[in-house]
Amino acid sequence: MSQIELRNVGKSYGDKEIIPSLDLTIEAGSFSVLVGPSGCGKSTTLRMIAGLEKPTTGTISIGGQTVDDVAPGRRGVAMVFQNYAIYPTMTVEENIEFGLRNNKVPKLERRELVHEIAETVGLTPHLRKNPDALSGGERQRVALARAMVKKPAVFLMDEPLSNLDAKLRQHMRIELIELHERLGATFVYVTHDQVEAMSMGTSIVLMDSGRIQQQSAPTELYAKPQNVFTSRFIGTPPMNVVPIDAFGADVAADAPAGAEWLGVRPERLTFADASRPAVPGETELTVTIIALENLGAELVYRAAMPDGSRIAIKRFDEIARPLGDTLVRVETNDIHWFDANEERIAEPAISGQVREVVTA
Amino acid sequence: MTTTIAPPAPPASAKNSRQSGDGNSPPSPPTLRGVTPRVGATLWKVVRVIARIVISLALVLVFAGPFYWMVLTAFQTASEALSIPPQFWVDSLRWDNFVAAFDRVNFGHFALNSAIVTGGTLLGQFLIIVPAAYAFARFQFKGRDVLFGVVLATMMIPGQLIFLPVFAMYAKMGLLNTHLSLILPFIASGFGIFLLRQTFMRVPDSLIEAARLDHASEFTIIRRIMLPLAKPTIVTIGLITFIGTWNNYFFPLVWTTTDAVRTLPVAIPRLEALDEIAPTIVMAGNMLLVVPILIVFLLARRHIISAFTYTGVK
Amino acid sequence: MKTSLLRDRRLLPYVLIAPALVILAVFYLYPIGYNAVLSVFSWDLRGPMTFVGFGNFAELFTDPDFGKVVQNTLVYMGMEVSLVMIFGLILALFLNRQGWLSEFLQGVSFAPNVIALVSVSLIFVWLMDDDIGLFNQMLGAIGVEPVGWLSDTDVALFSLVLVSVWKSVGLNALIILSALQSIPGYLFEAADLDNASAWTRFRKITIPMISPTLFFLVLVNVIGSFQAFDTINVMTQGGPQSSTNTLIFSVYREGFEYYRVGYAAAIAVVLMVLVGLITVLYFRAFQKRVHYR
Repeated sequence: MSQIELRNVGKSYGDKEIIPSLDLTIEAGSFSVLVGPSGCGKSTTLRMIAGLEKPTTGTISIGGQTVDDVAPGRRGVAMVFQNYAIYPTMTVEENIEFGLRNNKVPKLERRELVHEIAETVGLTPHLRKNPDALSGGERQRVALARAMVKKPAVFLMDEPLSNLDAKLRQHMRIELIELHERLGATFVYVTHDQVEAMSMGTSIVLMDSGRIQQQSAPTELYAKPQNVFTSRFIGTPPMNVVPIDAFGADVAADAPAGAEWLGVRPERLTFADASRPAVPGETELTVTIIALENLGAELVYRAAMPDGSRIAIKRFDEIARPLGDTLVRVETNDIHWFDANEERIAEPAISGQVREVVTA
Repeated sequence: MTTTIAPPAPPASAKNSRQSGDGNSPPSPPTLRGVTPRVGATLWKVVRVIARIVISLALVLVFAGPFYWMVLTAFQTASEALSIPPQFWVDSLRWDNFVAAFDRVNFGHFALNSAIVTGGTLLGQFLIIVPAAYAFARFQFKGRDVLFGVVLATMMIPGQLIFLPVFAMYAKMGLLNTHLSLILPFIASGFGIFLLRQTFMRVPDSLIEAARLDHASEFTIIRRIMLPLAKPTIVTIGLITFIGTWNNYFFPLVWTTTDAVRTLPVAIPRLEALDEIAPTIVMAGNMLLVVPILIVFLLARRHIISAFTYTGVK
Repeated sequence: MKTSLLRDRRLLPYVLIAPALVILAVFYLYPIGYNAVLSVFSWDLRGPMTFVGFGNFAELFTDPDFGKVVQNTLVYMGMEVSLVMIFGLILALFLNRQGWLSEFLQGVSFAPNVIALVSVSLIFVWLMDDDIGLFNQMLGAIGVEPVGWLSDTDVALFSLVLVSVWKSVGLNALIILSALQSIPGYLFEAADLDNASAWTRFRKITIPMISPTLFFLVLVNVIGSFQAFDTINVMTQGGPQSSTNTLIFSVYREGFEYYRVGYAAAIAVVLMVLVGLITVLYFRAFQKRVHYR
């Protein structure tokens, strides 16, 4: 098992700075997901760990060993590429054994390993085939088998599921999670898909503009986004972030010092219920519903607030509300506060919770 | 089927009619379009079909006729060849002219030289071009673009313009009348490097990266991944080099002073001296030069045509 | 040492390109300079080289035959390139359809291109013989006076052009054909919807879409025309009365028959300048008018 550490790692192409300076620790045995919008530097980070890109500054170590001068093939890492990068010039079997062959593993041992892995991923009937003859899912398995056969301490995956159709993707997600459990190796997984990140990762590294916005477990990432970017990246539709007075003077009065923005998740907003009056800590205000998306299981309303801001409201009601004015209720405890720099500020103490000041 | 990075499909046999450019004879004369009377259309169609057949026959006559005339003369006696009106057929295959040609010229010697020079050029080209194209395609290095510009520039220099200084160079280096002198200048073909580099550049980066993660050496990457993928391009370059070298007359003529390394194309025209009144023997000798390459052409017609036309398109 | 060179990824590319660049430099770049040096010397390939300054050029430009040689070269170029392009385009349009006949004709018209120019020349010497050649016999049969294909000073150069065109028109046609076939069909469908006539479609779609190929082919043919040697050497030896003597043939004759290497090199310099000049002018004149996709 190998912990991966990046210290002061920066990457520029000519004048173009992709990553200013990154400090990142990826725990041994974790399933760490690097997630963020395209161009955020997540792939570059992964490729630097693999040794495919050389950092401009800083140092990377894997399992306590500095690997800055170690060739990719010697780092004890295996990688699954977005397009699988299956060698079209070799059969499935040759594809899987290629790395072993280059590392001078004896022939008999190679055969044994290849067959063992092929059995595991269900490729045994395809070993003699050319990759052209395989389906998308089978190619994916070849790519996985090729990585697994080397028994690496670190698996690097660069959007490995993005070329699969939705159903297969769902299936492979579960397989990868199981694989991680079984192998106990360190997984570093790059994706731009927040659902993939949330469902697979034990640790999520959310990046933007070459900087780490937040690194934490999925639940924490959802519950305590450390800035506006993070709050809006996770969750569909994204968190409503509006000026603190958008919900009226009562809410604004609750705001901690320095708060400029408040955020509330669409699924935390409720429609006022005449049978249960608002209790202390709840605020009601009138908004105008202007559009509705019916997603079957859930309903997403778009509404205009008195100050003109737009918000989303997600409900699981069976019957859709008509467009027009309606009374919405929000609980103060569900509100996230952000300062002028869009950084999270400690929420008012809730049931004994200690205030924490978070700096990114 | 193995995936290969190939030149575009041979134009000679386009399968997709919707892709075809038009500009050729229109489906019907524009004046008749829309209100086409049946009779007019049918008549027009017949005329067009007849015109097509006539033109096609004329094309065959123009392009195949001279070859037929060569073969015919090669089997004729001088008097048959001279007969007026001309004879377009022979009664029996007479091999006298071929025997005479063989008596005069040591074909074995020249054919061997042709084989050595052609084979040497092909082999040398492969060994020189592949690494160069690979480096230009897959490496970032200082001066790369300038050096590649130099390679491209040499494509623009007609080889025949510099035969004189090269001859003088050979004379000084003692390379005159060696096979090497007819091989060396052609093994670094700028055109080949250009074509192969294009192919190598189309190989996805991730394949190379995957190989590097699999700890493959640069040599292994070239041998196991790049070369198999570039096979069609390599065959293309090889065919063009083969035909060009085998047929070359100029350089074996001007860069040699003795027959030691001269090739078939230089030897054949000498047969002209043997014929007194009609070129029967020279046509027989000529057949020996033409027929092998025609056979190769018939066997690999599509590939040869696509090789040559591909190079023309880009 | 060798392994470490191959291991170092910064040096490796240079190691890989070195053999090719050395050969290109030795056989293409260096000779250009060396040729220029030779052109200011007098040398017979054996004896010592004598510096003569611009003597060779002075002699060249005062030689009345030299003007004729330059003229021959340019006339040859003009005729060869225009005939190949015109017939190539027509042939391509004729061949641009599906079916075995078209494919067969493509093969037939391409065949001369794989045959040695020497062989082609030998065949045409025979066909173009003044008295007994097939061409004149056929002309005689329909009552036309025999033509001095290779013996008439007004015709010989044109005969050489014919041979060259015969050999290369098929290749040019097939290259144009592949350009024609890469024009997306929807362009013609759109033009049809716009009620364009066949001629309009040809002029407004076909020609612009294949213009890069035509541009490229003209250049290739121009440069190729300066190198025409095999036909001249086999068929006319520059005659009759120097009517088919071109620059490249003069270089050969002066250098290898008369052993006036310096003088020959001077002609080669003129030829290089001419090729360079025409290439540059050509790019200046036409590049902007080419439609690049």
